[in-house]
Amino acid sequence: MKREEDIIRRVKEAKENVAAADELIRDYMPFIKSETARITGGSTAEGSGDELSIALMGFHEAIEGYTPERGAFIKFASLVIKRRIIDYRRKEKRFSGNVSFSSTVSGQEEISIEDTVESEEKPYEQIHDRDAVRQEIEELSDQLGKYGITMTDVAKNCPRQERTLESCGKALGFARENRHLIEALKKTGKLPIGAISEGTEVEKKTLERHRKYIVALFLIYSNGYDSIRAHLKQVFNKGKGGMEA
Amino acid sequence: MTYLVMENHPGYSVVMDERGAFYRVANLGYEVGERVSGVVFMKDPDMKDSERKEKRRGFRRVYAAALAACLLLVLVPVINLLTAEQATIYMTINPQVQIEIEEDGEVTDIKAGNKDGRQLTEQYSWEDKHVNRVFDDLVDRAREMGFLTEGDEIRADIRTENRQWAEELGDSIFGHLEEYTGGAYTIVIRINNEDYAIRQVVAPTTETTSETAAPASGGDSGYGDSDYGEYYNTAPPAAPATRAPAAAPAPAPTYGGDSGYEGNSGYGGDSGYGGDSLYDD
Repeated sequence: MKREEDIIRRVKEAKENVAAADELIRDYMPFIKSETARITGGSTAEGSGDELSIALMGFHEAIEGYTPERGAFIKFASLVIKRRIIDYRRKEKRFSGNVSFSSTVSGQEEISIEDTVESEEKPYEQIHDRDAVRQEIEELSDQLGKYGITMTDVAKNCPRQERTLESCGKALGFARENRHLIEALKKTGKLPIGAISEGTEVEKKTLERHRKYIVALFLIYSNGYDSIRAHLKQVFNKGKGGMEA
Repeated sequence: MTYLVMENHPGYSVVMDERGAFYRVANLGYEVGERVSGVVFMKDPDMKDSERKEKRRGFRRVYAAALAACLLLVLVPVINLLTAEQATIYMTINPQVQIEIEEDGEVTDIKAGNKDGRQLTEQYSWEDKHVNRVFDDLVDRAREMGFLTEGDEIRADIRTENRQWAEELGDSIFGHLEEYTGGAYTIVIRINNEDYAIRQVVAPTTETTSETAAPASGGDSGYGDSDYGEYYNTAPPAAPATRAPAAAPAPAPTYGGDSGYEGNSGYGGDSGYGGDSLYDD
């Protein structure tokens, strides 16, 4: 009973705190591995480690979705993990037989299919220096931290409806044309929601609801994140009033 | 679509797509700064909560239009009544059924899109049924009525603003159909005019000649050129453009229960498919 209370307490903490969630997952890694092995019918050390990754994500989903009304957490987590692995396997089976883009071309072991396909992304690949991108991402993460925002917050706060995503794109577009708004954010630490709403006709409540995400966008489009911006080919569907990166 | 890996955790990674949208996805051994594709999205329980709140304020429904050429089922997605959005409806020249579903997958209405669709849904009871169950029932009816024979295509075109939910729905329908039909039919799932999942089967034939073999791409197959998206990187195998002769008894499909399918559907061979899908691709 005490153990159950302890885990419920930890799960509650993990819901609010990413570091607590990470720690809980690490502590329960043996359980997650054994569940994965049980569901897949084999050792997780064999074959693809992807199923273990899916199980880890499932465990995290269980943390976020758990309430005491659902019964014991471990049992709930086990169900979520199983469901996720089954969904994943179905999806993989669906695409089985398709040639992987990075498979080698038959008879030419040294050349991959990726090399033989002309891609308009190749010029991007030439300028895409992963170390440079990684450094920018770390800097962005630090900068977000000053606003009390994590990358996880940005992902959770990002709108899922296209219409809302476009509204955020509008806000960004307006800020790019009125750079003082981005400077105001960096100076005051606050998003100038009133000015943005007035200039874009996007509702204040929409801007407030997705504040963390918009702050991240504004920072990406401030100076110094060229490599990150290079990844953004088209922000929020140019055809619907968005803009090019 | 490719995604830039922004952050890693034991349970997930944070990625950013080319449009600037951020997601939490399974961490399949990614490195920060890496560009990846084929991500597995994490389900966001908060999204469901907010959607439930919207449901209390208004009402969310998914409209699905089901097409049957060789039976095409088209799903029209969620209508957000708070913003008074109109669902997208695809007109077809084949049996067509429009299925409306709620957020939890329960069917709220079914309408026939054309005469064959009326025949298909005549006196069909859909109340209190889940969309997967309705698919099963309509597939069974289509077989019995001769609209669907082995090797034919079942297509579901999902239209919704909520991409993540559309993919969950697509995965659910695909997996369910595949299991229920035992791989007897080609299953195509499209989301917002893009191919999402395809499982193609070649219909058994007693005679297959070069005249009956369809081109590998294009033509009247409905597949178009290489418009398969990131999940289908090879050209589809050549499939017969015409149906197997009705006289040839098809092997009994391997279904879980007794589907009542005897093999010879008595299908005359004319799909009624005129070639122009009328899709706004």
